[in-house]
Amino acid sequence: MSTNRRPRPVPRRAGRNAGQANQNDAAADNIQQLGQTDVPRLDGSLYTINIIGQIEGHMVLPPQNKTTKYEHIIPQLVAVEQNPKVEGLLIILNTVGGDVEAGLAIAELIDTLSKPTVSLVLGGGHSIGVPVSVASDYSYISETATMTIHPIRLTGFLIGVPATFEYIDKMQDRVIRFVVNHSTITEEKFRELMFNVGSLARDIGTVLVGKDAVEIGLIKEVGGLGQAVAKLQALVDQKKGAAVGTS
Amino acid sequence: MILYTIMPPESILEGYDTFKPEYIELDYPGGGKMVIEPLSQSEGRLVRLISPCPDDYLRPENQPGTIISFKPVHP
Repeated sequence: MSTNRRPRPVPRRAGRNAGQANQNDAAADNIQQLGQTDVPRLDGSLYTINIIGQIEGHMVLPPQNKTTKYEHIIPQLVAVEQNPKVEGLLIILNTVGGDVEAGLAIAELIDTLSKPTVSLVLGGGHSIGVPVSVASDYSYISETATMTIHPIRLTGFLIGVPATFEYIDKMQDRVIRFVVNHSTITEEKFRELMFNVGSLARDIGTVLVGKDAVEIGLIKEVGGLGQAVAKLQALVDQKKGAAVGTS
Repeated sequence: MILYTIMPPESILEGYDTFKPEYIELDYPGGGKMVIEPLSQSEGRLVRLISPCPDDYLRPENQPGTIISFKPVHP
């Protein structure tokens, strides 16, 4: 470390008290002496990830967009899987959609996470937010939240590849297949909602509000934060009980 | 790349042709990099963390958007 001439980042910690500053100094000493960082201190055993605004993928979006960067979500999911202190994951969604591949990547990781996961759709879980919200073990939607299901090609945006019908159709099939495999909605019903005419003013598709999403089998239950955390805790306890039972 | 979103593309991409952010890379303690958008000589906004250690991503001070102050380290 002493030969390092490059600037070293020191995160600003506004408003922290002296005790925490000492703790941070201790952490810095730890890095300098042992060359390692200590595992982050977690008071609770549940971890939460917000997916808000646009899901940003292969292109950095201009600053007026509020984005969730997938390259930051993915390692967090890896850490959740690997960190023994984390027992369950709560995913809170309020997204307008975003990059298809980034969204599907996040959805696949949430799906294959071995720890219990619960998702909660607040406000909106539109477009690519739909597969992300159904990827968890159990899903909630708040009463007033909406989910828009629409075809990719109409409001989608394409860069770098020829915008052939087949290409976009394939992309759309990936989304549909994921949603159908991870919820109780049938493919026919999902396609019907996707190509519905008359629900959106100038577009094709369907807006589902709160319990509509539950009734058609996309989301498991209408609920809020309390229910979501209680359900996650129950799933964690259930998993612990199963582990005790088998050992 | 395909954007699948309810937002109209023109509002998402507004200013895309003039949007040219400059990023610098700083060493992250423990063997990684921080991609930072400089705001002044000694401060910048964290854009992205590149670290092989997944636990680094769980630290609240490493979330994108955090203001990072940095200073040269003398031998």
